[in-house]
Amino acid sequence: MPGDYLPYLIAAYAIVWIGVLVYVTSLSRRSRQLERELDEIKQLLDRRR
Amino acid sequence: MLAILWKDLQIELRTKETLAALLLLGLLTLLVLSFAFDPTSPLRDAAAPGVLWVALVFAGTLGMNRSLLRERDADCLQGLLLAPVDRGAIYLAKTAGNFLVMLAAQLVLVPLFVFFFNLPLWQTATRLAPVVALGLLGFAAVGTLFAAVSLRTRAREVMLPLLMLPLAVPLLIAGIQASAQLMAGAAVADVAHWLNLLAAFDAVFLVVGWMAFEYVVEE
Amino acid sequence: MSGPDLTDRLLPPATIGLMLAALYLVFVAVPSDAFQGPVQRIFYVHMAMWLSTFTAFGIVGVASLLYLWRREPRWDHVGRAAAELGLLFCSLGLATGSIWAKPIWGTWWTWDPRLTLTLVLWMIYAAYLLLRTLATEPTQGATLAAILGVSGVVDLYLINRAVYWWRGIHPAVIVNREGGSGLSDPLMRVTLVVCMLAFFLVFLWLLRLRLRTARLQEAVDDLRAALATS
Repeated sequence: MPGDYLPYLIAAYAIVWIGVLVYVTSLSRRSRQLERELDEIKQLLDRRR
Repeated sequence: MLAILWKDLQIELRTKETLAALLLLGLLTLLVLSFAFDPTSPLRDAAAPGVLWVALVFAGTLGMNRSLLRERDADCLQGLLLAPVDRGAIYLAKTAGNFLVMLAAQLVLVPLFVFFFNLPLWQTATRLAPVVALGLLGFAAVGTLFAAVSLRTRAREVMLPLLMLPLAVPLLIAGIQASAQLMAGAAVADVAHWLNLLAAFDAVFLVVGWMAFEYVVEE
Repeated sequence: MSGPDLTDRLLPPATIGLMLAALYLVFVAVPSDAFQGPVQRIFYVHMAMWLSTFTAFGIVGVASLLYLWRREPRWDHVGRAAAELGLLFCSLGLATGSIWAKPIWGTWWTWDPRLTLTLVLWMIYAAYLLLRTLATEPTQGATLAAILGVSGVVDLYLINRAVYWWRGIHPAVIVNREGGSGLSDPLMRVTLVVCMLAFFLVFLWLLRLRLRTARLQEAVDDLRAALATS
């Protein structure tokens, strides 16, 4: 009887890992996007001077 | 501060808009929720306190939204802020105003509730009175603060219940539980811990609102 | 922050190391619970979510208070970052709790006081982030959210009392099944602590990453403003 619940165990840990990874991915993507924007704006500012 | 309270009450007495809206909404909620239960089933009586509080909460939330929205549109708040009045005092006055309006609405809604759910009138009303009063005070305290907060967002009407209700959970649980027990015949001493919780909630949020209001209204 | 490079260098390996240890303990070393079987292992990660959730909540409260007091943007960044992570860990906590409840109690959701409290907390976090997003003006949004943050923390004790009193009718069911008293083997307790610490480090790591992103955003906004005026 107890062994039948293995899928639940796997599901629980899977959800946690997927959740954390999704967040990390979106965070790093946003981070990179912001860095690109920062460079662009810096270039624009330098050109203006 | 009393002057502001008086002003708010005068506006309310003259237009009676908010009070009417509260009453109708409360009545509608009672009605709709009554449909959820088979009139003959015992579930109905068990659900009665919950129904009352849902009606109170629903009507109260919308009532507060209206009153502050109306204020904003008429730019009364701007005028008040120009005067050298303590912001905290404005908050307390508005809270008192909202509280009194809700209380007035309850004077009609509780008898209606008794009527729909076939309860002993005098007994129910007197037993529930302190619980409802404490509950509405807390509700006014949180509601006034967060109505002002939600005015400054893009989704005003939706924002107020969203902000207020999670915070008001202790108030709801305490109110419903205490009401249920009192209606079932418990003595006041039995529900004392709930009443203490309600009082604590009221105190906490009156203080928080009093201190935080100036941050909300600054431009 | 005392040594940004030092923390940056230590945190990732420490986190990974501790996480590997936790995984080993949870899946290999620790014995299964006598009554609940292997499913009980969810308990370790479920409880681990709690430490981070409540720490995040505390951080939101403190950061909100400091923001209202000092008006420094960085406190707003801290509050927002902590709220996002708090929401994440709270969601995961609720999900793992639910997944654990189904086989053990036979239902996806119970009005267990801890679960109920977490749900209310979740709503407060969500409201905080929504407020931040929907504010008509960013600085004001920070102030408004801070007020909610402080209110939430102040309210926490009251919510806790209310929810526990409400569910106080069936304490036996809760205590026995919750697993809190079921930690018979000392290795179970070790596993729990290791798990909690491992995920706590993950939380801290993510918090720093999120703060870095917030600072980047601030830099971009500032430069944009400079661009517009130059």
